[in-house]
Amino acid sequence: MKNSRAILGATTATDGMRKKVARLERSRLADWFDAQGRRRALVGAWAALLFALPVSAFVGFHFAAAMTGLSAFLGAGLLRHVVRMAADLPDAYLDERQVATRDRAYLYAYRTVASTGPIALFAIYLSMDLLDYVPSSTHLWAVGWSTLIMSVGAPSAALAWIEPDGRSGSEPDRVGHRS
Amino acid sequence: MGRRPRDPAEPETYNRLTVLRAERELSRQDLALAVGVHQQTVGYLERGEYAPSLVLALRIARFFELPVEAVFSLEPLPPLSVTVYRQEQT
Repeated sequence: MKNSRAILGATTATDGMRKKVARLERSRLADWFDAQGRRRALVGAWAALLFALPVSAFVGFHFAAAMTGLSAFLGAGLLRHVVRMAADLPDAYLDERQVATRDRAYLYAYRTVASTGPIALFAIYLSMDLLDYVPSSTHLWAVGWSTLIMSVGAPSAALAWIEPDGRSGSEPDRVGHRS
Repeated sequence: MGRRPRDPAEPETYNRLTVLRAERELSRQDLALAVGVHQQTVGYLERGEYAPSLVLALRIARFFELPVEAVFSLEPLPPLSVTVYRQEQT
């Protein structure tokens, strides 16, 4: 998501913050994810990894579960990088649309985490009661790690999902001027 | 330009930003810097995908030296040429 510098001209930005913004703007990787479709594909892949982590552990593929967990953790880092501008800058450096989008994303993330975590725990307790299932430490670790990584990455994932397409190249910036 | 609201509770808003910007030969970056928003936000405003706050709407209207209702409206705006022609005839 490419947000950025317009606000810096209109506010009293410190040198440190200007450098930080310049550093954040230099990411080609994040520019590549400026298109909403790519961002959503990344979020989908990350969610699939989160689901695959406990499934791999339950099936008995412990090495695969570990690799999936590592990938999901790295995926959360990549998502954070993709939304770095809106996620890392203080409100004063974002405009009202960017702040509103971030607030909405964080609300969605909160709702997701607040519902998914208890549902996972409830499912485990329910299966212990009804199916006489005794979870192994590996199973608990897998569910725990999946929930933890989801909690860490959910705000970035929600922001990456809802931020509209940047459309930086699809429309003329300057219209109707004399040639 | 019609707004395509994501939330059905949000009212549709219309604006003349694209026309006004073209008329004054301004880029999105020029307008964005003048009113203190990101240039992508100007794009969202022009396409009607984002309804501005009152403060931003007033700031944009002041920049164009027009009353806010000449720039933004809750009803579809008639073309400027039609409006001007009607005024000249009366």
